[in-house]
Amino acid sequence: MAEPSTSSFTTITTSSNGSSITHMAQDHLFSILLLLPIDSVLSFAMTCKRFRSLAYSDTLWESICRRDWGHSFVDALKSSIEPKQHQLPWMKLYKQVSQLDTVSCQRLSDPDGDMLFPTPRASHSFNFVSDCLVLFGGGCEGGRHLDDTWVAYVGNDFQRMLKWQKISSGIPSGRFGHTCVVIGDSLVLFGGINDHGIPSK
Amino acid sequence: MSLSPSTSKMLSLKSSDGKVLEVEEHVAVLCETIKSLVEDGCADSPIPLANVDGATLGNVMEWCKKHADQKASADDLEDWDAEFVERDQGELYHLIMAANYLNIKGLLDLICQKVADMIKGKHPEKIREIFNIENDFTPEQQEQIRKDNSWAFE
Repeated sequence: MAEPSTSSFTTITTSSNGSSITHMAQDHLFSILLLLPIDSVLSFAMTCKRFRSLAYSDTLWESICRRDWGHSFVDALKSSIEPKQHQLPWMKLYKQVSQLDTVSCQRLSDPDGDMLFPTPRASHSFNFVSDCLVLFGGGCEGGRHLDDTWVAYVGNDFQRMLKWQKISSGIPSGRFGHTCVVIGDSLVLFGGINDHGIPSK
Repeated sequence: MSLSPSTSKMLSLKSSDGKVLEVEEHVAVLCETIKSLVEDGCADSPIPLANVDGATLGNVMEWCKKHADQKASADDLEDWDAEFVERDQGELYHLIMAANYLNIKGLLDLICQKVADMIKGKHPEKIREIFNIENDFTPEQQEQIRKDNSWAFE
């Protein structure tokens, strides 16, 4: 067995603040790290260079992925990779997936009956500018173009309730399929088509 | 093969430092390494264990004896194990090496969990202090690694 001789054990035991973990074989350290949550694995990596390279090892992170995502997931992922394709390091992959994890969806509450609310539509523009959602145009059922502009404030004290305000109609002229982009504090609208089939400038 | 206490014979185990320990066979065979020797009829007396010192062998056999006891309940074992691992790092290290050499999965898992618990939830400085690890990073490297890993601490 490739273990240190027993004589070296003795010196470790007798040292007053025995640093035995630093003498441990890689396999055992892996077993220990696999029992830890991710933040603790990385705290361990931050202690010294040797433990950084150990705690960053691809073998360890593949095992961590298996632990947290299941074998079938990891196997499927591995088999989907072409032989010549470069496989993303498991740690990097874990990081990316964990960051995806922090994206959460919430259903916005339905507005009260007496609140104004844009009619259902398609091919409209929908932008976020100056803490507001801005909705313009689009086509409604039957293919009719719409020319209304709506604004809902979603700034800091936003309470998961969209309060829409209709701020204008007719300007710009009704259209759908247009583009609208945010530049600084402004919206720039271009193109689209109206229900007479006439393209807008 | 029946290994009930009543029929169990004694095995002698010899540690690396020459100490001989008499252990009931049904206790000693919790070590897979010894079990293979017994099953193959190669259990010379005494069995030389070149990688385990006497003190550690005593601790290991104490654990095996408790875990070979059919009367011990799961709760009882859990409490007993929790007390068993209250040791200094040197002893824990020896126990890991011995559990590995003697192939005792239960003991190996127990000690690994104990060491993991010593690391868990602690800052790098605290881990260094506990295990007497020398920080060989420059302040710049340390800042960089902290940045690289910040995703896991959000």
